[in-house]
Amino acid sequence: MSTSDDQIDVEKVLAGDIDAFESIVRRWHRPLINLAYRFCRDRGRAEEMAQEAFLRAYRSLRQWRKEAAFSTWLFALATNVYRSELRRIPAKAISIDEAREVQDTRAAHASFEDEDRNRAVRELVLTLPAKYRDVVVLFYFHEMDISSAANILALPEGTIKARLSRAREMLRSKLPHALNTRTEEY
Amino acid sequence: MEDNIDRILSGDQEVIPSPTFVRNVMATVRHEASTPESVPFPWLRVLPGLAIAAVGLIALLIIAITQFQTDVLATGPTPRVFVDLVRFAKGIGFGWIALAVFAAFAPTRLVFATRR
Repeated sequence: MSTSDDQIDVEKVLAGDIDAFESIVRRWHRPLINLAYRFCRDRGRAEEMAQEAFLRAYRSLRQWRKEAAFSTWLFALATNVYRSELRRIPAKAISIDEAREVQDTRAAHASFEDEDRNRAVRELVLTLPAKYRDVVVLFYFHEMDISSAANILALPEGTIKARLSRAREMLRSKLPHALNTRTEEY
Repeated sequence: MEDNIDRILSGDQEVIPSPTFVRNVMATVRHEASTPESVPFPWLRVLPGLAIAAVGLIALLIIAITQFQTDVLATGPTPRVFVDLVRFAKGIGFGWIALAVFAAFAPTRLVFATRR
């Protein structure tokens, strides 16, 4: 999976060899589906969104300027597709009240299962305002790499850091029990 | 505390794509490739016609205003001015021109808009 592989395939596709696009799809479908999943938390919808992203990529291959890595261009394009999709049909995520209810019940019984808590936190990310949600999703998807998220969203790194910090505050305020206690375990 | 959020959000499960995903994408791409590219709306060809129509409309407006002012100065604002205006528009076939422009332009625009 190198830049030159992508470049060679892109040039082949632009020269009329459509089959070369299959190599691009095979190389990038896992990360694109997983990124989509983090935006919607629905496997079926994630595949549909990723498929749409590949189709848009195919249509606009000529617009890749080769100044940025192909992956950065592809992720930026896919992120735009996913954001538009979510504006059209928002992701069905757990509501804050539901999350609190789950948290309170579990806390009362002193058995707040890790997996349930983690799921609630991940779904709560989808309830954040879009500009915070996007930063959080991309930052954690790219293994906490600020510069990757900044490149894909075309934002300065400082803005990414500020939004990340604000997003974390919001998450903490929404699920204080789950995120403020049991810290010693980690 | 931040470690807690980091741990939860970075430890997300990986989704395994369905086995037919690549095939489905390629089928869509091949379909896209076999569909002829939509023809862009020929603005360059339409533009002179639109410009002529715009000049005509402006000229008509100027004539109407001039005639209105002349009539007002001569006889005061009477309904006759409007009657004259309608007669003038009828005389040059303004209604038919407007209808023809609309009939030619609107469906063409609609066809190109739906093709994209």
